[in-house]
Amino acid sequence: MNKGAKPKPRYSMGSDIHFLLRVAWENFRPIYFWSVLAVILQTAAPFLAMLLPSRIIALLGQGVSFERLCAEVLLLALGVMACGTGRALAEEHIDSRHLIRPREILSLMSDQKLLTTDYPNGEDQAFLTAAGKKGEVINNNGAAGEETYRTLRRLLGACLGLAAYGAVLWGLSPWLMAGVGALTCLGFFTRRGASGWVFRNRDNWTPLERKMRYIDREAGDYRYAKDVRLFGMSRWLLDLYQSFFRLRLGWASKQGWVEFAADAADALITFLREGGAYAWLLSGAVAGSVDAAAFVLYFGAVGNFSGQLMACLQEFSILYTEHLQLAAFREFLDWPERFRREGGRPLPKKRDHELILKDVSFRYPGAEADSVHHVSLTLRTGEKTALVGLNGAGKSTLVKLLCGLYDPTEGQVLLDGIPITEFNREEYYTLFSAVFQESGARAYSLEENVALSDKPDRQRVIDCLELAGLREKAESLPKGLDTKLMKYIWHEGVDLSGGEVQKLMLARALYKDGPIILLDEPTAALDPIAEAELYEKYSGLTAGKASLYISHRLSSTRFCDRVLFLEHGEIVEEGSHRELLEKRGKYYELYEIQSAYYRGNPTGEEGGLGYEEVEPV
Amino acid sequence: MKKWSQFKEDVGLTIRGYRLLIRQGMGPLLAYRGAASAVKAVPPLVNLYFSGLLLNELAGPREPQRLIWLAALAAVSNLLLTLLGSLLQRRMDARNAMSYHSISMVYTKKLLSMDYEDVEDTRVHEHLEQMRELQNWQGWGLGKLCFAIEEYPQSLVGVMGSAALAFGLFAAPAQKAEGLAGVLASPWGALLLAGLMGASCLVFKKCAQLLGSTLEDFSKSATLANRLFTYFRGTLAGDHKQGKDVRLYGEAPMARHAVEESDREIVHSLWRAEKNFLAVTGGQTAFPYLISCAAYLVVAAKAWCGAIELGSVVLCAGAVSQFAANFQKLVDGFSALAANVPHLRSTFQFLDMPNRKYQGTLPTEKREDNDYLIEFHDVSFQYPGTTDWAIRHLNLTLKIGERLAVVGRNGSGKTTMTKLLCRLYDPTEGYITLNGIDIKKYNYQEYMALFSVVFQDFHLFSFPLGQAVAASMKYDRAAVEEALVQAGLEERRQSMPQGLDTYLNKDFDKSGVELSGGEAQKTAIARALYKSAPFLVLDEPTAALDPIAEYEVYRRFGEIAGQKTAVCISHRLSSCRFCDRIAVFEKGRLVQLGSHDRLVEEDGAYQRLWRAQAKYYDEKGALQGAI
Repeated sequence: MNKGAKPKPRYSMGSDIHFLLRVAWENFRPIYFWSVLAVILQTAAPFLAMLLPSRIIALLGQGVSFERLCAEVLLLALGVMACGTGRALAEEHIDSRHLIRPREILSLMSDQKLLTTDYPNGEDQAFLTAAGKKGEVINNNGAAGEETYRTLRRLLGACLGLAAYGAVLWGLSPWLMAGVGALTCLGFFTRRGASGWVFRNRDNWTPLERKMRYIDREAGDYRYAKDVRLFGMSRWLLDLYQSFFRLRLGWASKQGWVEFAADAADALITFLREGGAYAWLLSGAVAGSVDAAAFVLYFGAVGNFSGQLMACLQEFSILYTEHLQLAAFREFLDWPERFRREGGRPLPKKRDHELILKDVSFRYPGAEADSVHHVSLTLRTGEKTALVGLNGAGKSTLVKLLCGLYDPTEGQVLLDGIPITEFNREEYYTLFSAVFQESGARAYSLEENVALSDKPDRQRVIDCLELAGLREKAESLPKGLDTKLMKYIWHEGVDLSGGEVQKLMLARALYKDGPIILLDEPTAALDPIAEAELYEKYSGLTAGKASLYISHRLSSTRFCDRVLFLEHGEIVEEGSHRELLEKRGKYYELYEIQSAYYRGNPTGEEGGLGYEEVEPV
Repeated sequence: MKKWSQFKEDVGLTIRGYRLLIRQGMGPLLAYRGAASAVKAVPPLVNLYFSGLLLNELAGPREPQRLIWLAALAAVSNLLLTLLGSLLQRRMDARNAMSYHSISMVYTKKLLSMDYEDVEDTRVHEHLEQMRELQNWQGWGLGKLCFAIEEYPQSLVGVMGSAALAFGLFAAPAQKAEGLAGVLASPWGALLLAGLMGASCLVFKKCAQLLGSTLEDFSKSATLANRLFTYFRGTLAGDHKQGKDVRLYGEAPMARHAVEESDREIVHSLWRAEKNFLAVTGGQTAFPYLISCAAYLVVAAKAWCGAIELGSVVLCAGAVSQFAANFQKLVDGFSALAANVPHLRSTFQFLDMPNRKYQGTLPTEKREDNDYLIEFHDVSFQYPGTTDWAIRHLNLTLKIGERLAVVGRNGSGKTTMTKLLCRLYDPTEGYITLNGIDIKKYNYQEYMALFSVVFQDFHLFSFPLGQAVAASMKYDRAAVEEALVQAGLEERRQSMPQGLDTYLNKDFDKSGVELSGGEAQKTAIARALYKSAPFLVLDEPTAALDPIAEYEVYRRFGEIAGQKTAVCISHRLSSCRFCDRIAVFEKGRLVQLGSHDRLVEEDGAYQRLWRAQAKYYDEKGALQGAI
């Protein structure tokens, strides 16, 4: 199907069909009955419709009574009506009752995989590529997760129809049948040539489509409207759009010609088939073996036979494509996980913990250097540790290693002396109350945002909001703690400001009450007073816990017992704030730069760090 | 009379809709679509005609010569019509691939040109969202006009052609008209068919109404659920950055629960709608069959009475069914267009939304010396639809070449002040002047051109770096590079694979670069510098930067700002040290204004803010260790 060598999918077509049939069997079993019924009716309706005119002509030719004629016409025509309508109803029932389910079920599987897969998988290009293709299976009503059920039904119907019309034609002449079959197959392959062209070339226009959709979606977004107006971007965006539009139209036009060529070939083949059928039947008529009624019957049968054969071939090729999509989807669902998910040792049941990084290095896959290089550190209950360093020093990576989102490339992470790989990772996660830089609010109620549980303890939520400095705000909201967050989803909901979100994240961490607290830049969006308030409360918040505070603002180190200074993935200085200042090393330098502004005259003698004279650092 | 004027208005709106589509360049699409549709109606008629002739020949003389001619004509005309139809169809397809974009861009263009305060208005967004949903789910609105063209010509040609073919049937007199056959062969038979067609039109109309109201109910109950699962599915599950919290807080079951609930809501609303869907499907499927059944009866009766030849049975029955089906489509098409009118009205309501902001005509002075003076005169401001004063009685002068720092707690009105300054909003009370003239009197575009702003929530579109900085497809490369150097991004640019042509983010190019928060901020600063406007406004320009980078930005602040008047909002009060004056906001009011040295001595808001931060850095504290 693809250019170049493509690895064979891990699952066979049979296995994929079995997978879908099992989903149906377990969740919406009646679909089996209704599908078989629909298939039978689907075949019966056109078959009876084909018999009808031929039968009328035959009866009229025989000169039967009108009552007899009338009865047969009614029987057949009402039969067509019953079968046709029955089929439509059965299909409607299947669509609105049953086929709404499979995508929902498969999507849940995919959500679950994405939400719980080993964290590094989310950065693995191969995993992301596999995950990116899930849309082909679950995105819309025509996606493989749903449409394959219809494809299977149509394929079955086409096979049944093929057998029925085949039987009629066989009676007339196996040669005619073979000829019609051969021409139809020829038609199918020219048609496939065109879709092959589309398949091979679609990479030329899908990026254009994506860019056009992007502009269409983002240019009008109110969140960006300020920038768009002040920088006069609408001209730019529309120009870009026009340029993509022209290119896209060029490809669409080319595609139109290719498909027309296939249409033309197909029309010629149809012409040959019809011509052949005419010739065969008419010569029979002249010879006297075919009368008008038989002509109508057989001419109809030829058309229907060819139609059903074409449908068989097409549905099968659709099924094949869908199988490839399903196989990729299942490969994504079954993507191997390395972290321990079941069994494992129970977490140490004590209040005091010691979390140790032992000579740990970490290198991102494909990177040329370690992001964290031979780091050893210990977090203990009751000790407040600060981790400082510039952007890119490896602070965030170190945090991910501590809380088990990454496993180190070298070295070990030990909890109370036990390598963390021996614990069930999901249990291990429960130890941490963390706030990350990118942590954001969710579209739940405020209360659920804090508790991240369906059964929040309201009093505790209120206490945590109070501690985080968000209680007043929470109580001023229209529905208090039950106010939903994210206005673009809940129109009666609210959006919190950046500072408020950070407070909310802090409240969430407090609510979880894990024995180890990790705060990664939790004050970037807070105003000075709110920031200072957090600093002042910090000792209280972390009492009886191990804590790590990460920041590039050195003010934060003042309320910590111990400071780790990280540079290029290595801990280069370690000690109390005071010790590090006395050491007059890198930490001292950085501290001087920041504190200069807050001391006396910035252009004065203290450190001489006024902006006019200082050399670049 | 009233009905007539209503009708005229409806037709007017529909015509206006078509003209809008043609202005969007969709004229050729409509033309191809109409032609393809008309041609599509012909082959079934031609087939019927020839099969009638053939069958009569077969049932009668069976003259080989004539049989061959008829068969050849049938096959050849089929071939030619198919070729023509497909040619038109494929030309149409090529244009049609673009129609979704073309229609959608109509709205986007409107969003780009409307007043900023309308863009921020949630009612405007709800209106648009509703329109888009109705269009995507049921094709209402401008899209409907496009699709109507697919039906009309075909059903019109079909009705006329099949009427011509069936004409012979009803014109021919019955010979042995007796009994039931006689009744069916008489005009009563025709009447029966006409009656059924009438009934069918009624049924179809009812079905369409039922379908419309059912879909509306369904989409009403499903839109929130839809938004929710799009959020949980797309936004949350797909966002790796949120994945850390999801795992550490064991959020998966909670998210799953939320998705299941919205799934259930959608499933149940579809289940509730099912019996209506079944009724619609049943009515719409059964009636054409019923008519075709009656047609066969009448035609058989006619043939039995000898009014028509044996071979014409297929022709006539086919023609009657075709006529009924096409007639039905024609009627449906008209009622669909009529039903579409309210949606068009809503579309035009959106598109006709006026730009209410007063647009002055005065050009701004182009001054080499940047000698601009801006004054706020007792300005107060409420956001539309709110009663709280975001800004209250603000008097402030921005002097040429001045560096002004704006500080205050979250929500004190700092950002609002900048929005008023660059006229994204107009003051509710009071006014702002530029060189003594109310800013409303200036040409809006020219006024905005005076400001380079880096907003707190700035946005960079995922296009090549150079274009993102210049906000244009064509730009001066040297100037962009210069701006990047000034913003401190030179090193990063050099490390980019394609320099200025490197895509930002990986949306469109696998080799695109993901900028860190700090780098993105610097890029936004470069964009502001490239614009080179006399006023530079920076809203929290260093929140994502580390101390060294922050230091760099402030160190160069003087250099970056050059001769410009600069306004800088920051939570890091250290930045104030580089400014001439500091404006302190509290709850929408300007409470203090003056130099750092003066304010830090004054007992007030500034001192409190300053001390909150400075105490962690002061020498005494430093040596005392933790507080």
